[in-house]
Amino acid sequence: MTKTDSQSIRSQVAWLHRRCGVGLAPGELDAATARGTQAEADRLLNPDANGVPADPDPWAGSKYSTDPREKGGGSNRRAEVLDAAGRWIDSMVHANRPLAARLGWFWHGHFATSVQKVHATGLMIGQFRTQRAGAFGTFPDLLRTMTVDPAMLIWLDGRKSTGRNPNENYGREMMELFSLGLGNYAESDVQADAKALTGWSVTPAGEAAFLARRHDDSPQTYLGRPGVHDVDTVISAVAANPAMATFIAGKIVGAFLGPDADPAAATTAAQAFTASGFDLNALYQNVVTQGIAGTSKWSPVVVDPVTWWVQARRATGANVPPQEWTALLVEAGQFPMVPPNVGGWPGGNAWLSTSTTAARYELAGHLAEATDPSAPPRAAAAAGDWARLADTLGRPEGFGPATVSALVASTSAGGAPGVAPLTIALASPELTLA
Amino acid sequence: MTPSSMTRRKFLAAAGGVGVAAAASGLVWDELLRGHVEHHASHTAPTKDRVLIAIQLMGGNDGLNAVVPSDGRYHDARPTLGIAENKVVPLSGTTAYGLHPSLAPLSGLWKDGQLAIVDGIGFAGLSRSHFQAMDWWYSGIPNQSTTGWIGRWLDATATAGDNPLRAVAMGGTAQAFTARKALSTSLTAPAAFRLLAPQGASADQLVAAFQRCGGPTPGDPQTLAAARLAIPATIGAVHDVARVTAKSASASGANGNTKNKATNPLGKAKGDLTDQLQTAAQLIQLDLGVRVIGVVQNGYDTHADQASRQGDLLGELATSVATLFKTLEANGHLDRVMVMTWSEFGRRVAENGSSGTDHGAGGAQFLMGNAVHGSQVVGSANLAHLQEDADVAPGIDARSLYATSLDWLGGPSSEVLGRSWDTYGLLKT
Repeated sequence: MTKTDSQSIRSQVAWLHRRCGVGLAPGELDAATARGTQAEADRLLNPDANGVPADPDPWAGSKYSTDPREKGGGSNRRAEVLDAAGRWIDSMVHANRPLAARLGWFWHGHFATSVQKVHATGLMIGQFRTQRAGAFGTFPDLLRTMTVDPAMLIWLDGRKSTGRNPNENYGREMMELFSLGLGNYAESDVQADAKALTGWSVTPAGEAAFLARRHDDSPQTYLGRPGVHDVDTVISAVAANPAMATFIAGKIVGAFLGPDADPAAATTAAQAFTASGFDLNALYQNVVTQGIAGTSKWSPVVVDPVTWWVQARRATGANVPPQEWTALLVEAGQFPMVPPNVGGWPGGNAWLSTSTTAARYELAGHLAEATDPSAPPRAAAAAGDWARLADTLGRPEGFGPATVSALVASTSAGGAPGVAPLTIALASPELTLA
Repeated sequence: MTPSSMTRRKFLAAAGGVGVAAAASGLVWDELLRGHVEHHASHTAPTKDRVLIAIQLMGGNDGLNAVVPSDGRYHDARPTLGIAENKVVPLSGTTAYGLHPSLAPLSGLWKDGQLAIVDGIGFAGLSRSHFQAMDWWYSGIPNQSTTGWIGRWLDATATAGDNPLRAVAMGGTAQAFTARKALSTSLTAPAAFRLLAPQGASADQLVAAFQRCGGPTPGDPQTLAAARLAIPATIGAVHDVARVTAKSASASGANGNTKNKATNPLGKAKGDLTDQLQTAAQLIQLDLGVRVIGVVQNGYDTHADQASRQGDLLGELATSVATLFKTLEANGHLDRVMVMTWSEFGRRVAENGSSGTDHGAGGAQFLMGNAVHGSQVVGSANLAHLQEDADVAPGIDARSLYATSLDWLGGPSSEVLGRSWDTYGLLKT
């Protein structure tokens, strides 16, 4: 095998893990390269068939509040949120199944629900467990479970929407943000699905319950279909609308292939998705396969702060106390369970703002300091081996000349061996992109 | 001095001592800012540069309950949510409208002629989507969101020594500031906006090294180039903002290795606007060349339980703005400042069944300052002729509010907004 061949395989598998996974721990890039691109992609996409052990539930054994009447405030709630967020991040860092871990985070951003209104952390975790379980099934099934999810019913006021007085919050955002996209439904559809979805409430035990007396069962014409009157007929109508496949395929293509990917990629993915009966697993397969077929199909992606943090922790093997990373992730503009609104995090160049850049720089410093001196990234940094340093951080292509100049300059900044250059490397522009 | 040992402050004090080495190491940022700081350092009196503060009421503020019309139709449509007549705060000189009780702190501004209300304002043809509506308000151009209206103003008024602190976005949203070339600064929490270094490392040297990551690299794809540019922009902004918020040596970064205190990621709701406006006041007083400040108050999407939620928000809005005015007046800066509110839409005229309101169209916004021709309501919430029989019609285009602000700020407002817009006598002549 020529150097070019194995180097290009190395680049491809590194790309796979940056884009569709949670980064690479020491040794993982070597192992992935030895397997080859196709085999590694298959291992990511089909862990069962490849004997990759499943990951445990991140929140196993936790006892968070599931009381929907919670009004929030108080240190108990804060402690629960921090605990839940910490466990989630840890589980991504140590995931055996990187794709599932990455997708768990993706679907949270898609069905963006905030604990600031839901209050009960246990209900938020319930939503995430449902998303994780449904991430490899069909999208209409996932959408249905989200429609009657207790946290969602609180977040978008579904539990207050009754037949006599429906409110439009979930009905609108479900179509606009979760399934069809703006322009693919009419205002009359918002009113129709608001009525059809009435009757759901959340019990004091934190479970969704359907109360027929609060439900408007009258048949609506919805998305061109007559006779829609409840959650199942609403979901069927959404699934029958061709905009759904385009919208969801577009989201996965945007996440894995980048926001400026070849538009043909989204079209191809939508076709495969539709042909499969809206099987999400088939969609991921199609998009990843397109991605490794050639770089012309994909464009750079700015990683969000949590994903950056997870990948940096996995590469260095380090962690820092919650009081350090919590404040800085908030400063960077992203914290699990606290999206700015139902549209999720804006993403893209919004993560290149001054506030995110400053926070990432400090997080990098904390992590570098906490990295064991024998860990490959820190050892490479201490040795001044910039090519190796880049490789240990999942960038076998290396750093650009400006970053190398920064690394060289950082060696005069003092501190424990390797810490200053490792800080620069983790905070570098190259590491902000996947 | 070698570049690696130089902090930005030392660089500026040594003015002219770096030259070739600076260019080679990519300290272009420092050169740009040097020109700005030298220019301002030569002034002894506070600059008369005007400052616009734009307060985003995120979620869609219900204009009808904020600026209450004395129209029977209002109470018909809102049997439980309507503000009782005896609770409405009167506005001197008019009986057609009054204020939500929580806005009482603004009635002083109204009396003093410092507050104008623009009612029935929005965009024709806008859907009821938060995100489309915010896009249109951020950009000021329907269906175009590559630049924001403030970003285009920054581009149109940029000078050779472009100062990214001309525009500061707080509260996490800066889309209105997106420009083709001009840089702006975003802060989530000013007190935490700094660049601390690991133990034992020199904060200044490490930041100087980090600066080099921003060196222009031909052939970089656009996204990578943008990622590079963010670094010197951040370093410069942090140094300047630290002067506002530093209370002790350990916080300022001079002793740059302190640990962070725990932060409550949930603790953003109450008090956040107050903090942002206090920081805005400090930024203005510090005379860093700030011209536009964006702040955000979140929570206005009141589909349910509107009465208490909107009441709390409007209360914080009014109190924090009244406090801002007092602070600026005491320090002689009030004449330089104008404050405007904006929100992606107003809300449905009829209340829904969850004690709230759904998305609507025309809203009510506030324009405040000594230059404002106050004590008037421009436009109206015309309940006799609703849009789609449901919403307040946007009889006044949002860009009229922007044109008024930009005309006062100075600069080619018609160019920025595509054409000239009626400003309805909102500015004193």
